[in-house]
Amino acid sequence: MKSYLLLGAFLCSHAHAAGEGFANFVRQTQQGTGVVWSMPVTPTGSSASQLLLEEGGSLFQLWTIEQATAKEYLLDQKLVGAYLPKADVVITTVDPTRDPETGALRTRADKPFTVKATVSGLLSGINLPVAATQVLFEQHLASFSGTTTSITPAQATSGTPKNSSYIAANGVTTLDFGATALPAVNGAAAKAKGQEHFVVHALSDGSFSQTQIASGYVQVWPAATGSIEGIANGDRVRLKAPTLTIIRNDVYPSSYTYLQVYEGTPKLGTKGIPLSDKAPLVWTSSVSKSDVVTVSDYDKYLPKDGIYTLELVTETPFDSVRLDYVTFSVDRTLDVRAQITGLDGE
Amino acid sequence: MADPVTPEEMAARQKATPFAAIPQQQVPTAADAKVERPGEQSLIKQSDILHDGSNWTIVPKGAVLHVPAQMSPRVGAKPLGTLLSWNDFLTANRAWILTEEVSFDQAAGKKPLPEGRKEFWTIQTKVIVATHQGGPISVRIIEPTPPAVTQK
Repeated sequence: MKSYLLLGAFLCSHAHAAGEGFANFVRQTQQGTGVVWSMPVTPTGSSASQLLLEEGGSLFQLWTIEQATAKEYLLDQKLVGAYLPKADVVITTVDPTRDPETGALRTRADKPFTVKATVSGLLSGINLPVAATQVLFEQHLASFSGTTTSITPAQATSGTPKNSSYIAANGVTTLDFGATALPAVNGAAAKAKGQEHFVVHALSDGSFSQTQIASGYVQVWPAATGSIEGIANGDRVRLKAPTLTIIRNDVYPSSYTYLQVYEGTPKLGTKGIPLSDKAPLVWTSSVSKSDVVTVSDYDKYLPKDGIYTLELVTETPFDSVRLDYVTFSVDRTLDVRAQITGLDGE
Repeated sequence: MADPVTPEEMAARQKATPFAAIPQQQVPTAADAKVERPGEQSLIKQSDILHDGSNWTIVPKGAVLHVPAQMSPRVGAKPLGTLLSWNDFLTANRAWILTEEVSFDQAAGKKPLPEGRKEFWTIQTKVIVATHQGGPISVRIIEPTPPAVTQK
């Protein structure tokens, strides 16, 4: 049987990761004969395998190597064969944006996402080899530590999985995750960051060098936190409003973070007046961001005497979150305490 | 708008893994259900290196069919300079690289290469690299079986 494998989806999933300064290599290794073919590829696009998909299966691997340093990365791999089960992994998150550098899906640690594994080619019956009747579905976790914000799929999926389960029926298996399963950072589960990888393996009788038939991953970024320093709840502003220090931690890679103010006591969901010239942060990047800024000369946003609430808000593809707020009063009325006394003439 | 998620809310969302809900039939034994995960691998170590002094490329081990003595310093050396794709490297180095297009069956050793090819390579002053559809490919060379000699 001669069949052609379209590698379009396979390559496109990582096309961004192998751009300028990198050379891409797609290797096809025939599991039965050991023949290795290096397919000619360009940084983007698709290509059709011209080699026979022999009975024993073919392993496709996408590598990229940094041209100047020879540092190499195995970006993806897939075992394909005429008599092997086939699978596909699709992950869906709330965030419609993707990492601008790698094209990777992303989500926030506290937000839900869905993983669908579609399996076909499994057989049912008695006395069949187990490799024909079941596949193994795995979840691998890879945390970012320190300044590391990138882990290759090969590194992430080479160890023991966090969870795994056999799939014995053709069709779609849907997993709904309420939030990330990545380990907490400094005790805070919402501060977890890293990657979650989902892999489907064919079961091996020992004749395959690799058994991964489908995979997908999602990047997980921490939930932002922040604080307004320099003014406290209940403070009274008499003349000039004090200089503020705004701390923004782990702002999401696709977000808008700003200060807003409104008259009155705090009420969640109130649309205030944004301090649009006071260090708003529009952040569109491939990583989260933390910074500290100072804000002064914002008296024009406090035009009259009364109670004001100042909020630090971050807007993301998921929601708007009030990171911190402070309520204070403005009282610029001068009380002149004076007494007129007369001097009686003598 | 919302306030930041609380630790209690996070704990509730992480409570159970959905993997536990996948219906399990007869779970295979470990011996029956081996999987092979990608471990430490190196594409460069699985390859032969060709270089021209300033650029280099990689081809699968077994793809270099013939190296004339005067070209041996250009094959298998440590990577130095800039890595190029096979096509870019070949375009720049046609002067000393010749490709030999082979079929899959020839690469697998199921069919012999045309008679006389090996002799043809040995008189070349260029490095001979096996390709399939333009991409380098490993070749398992099979020696022709000598005709049976019968003694009368």
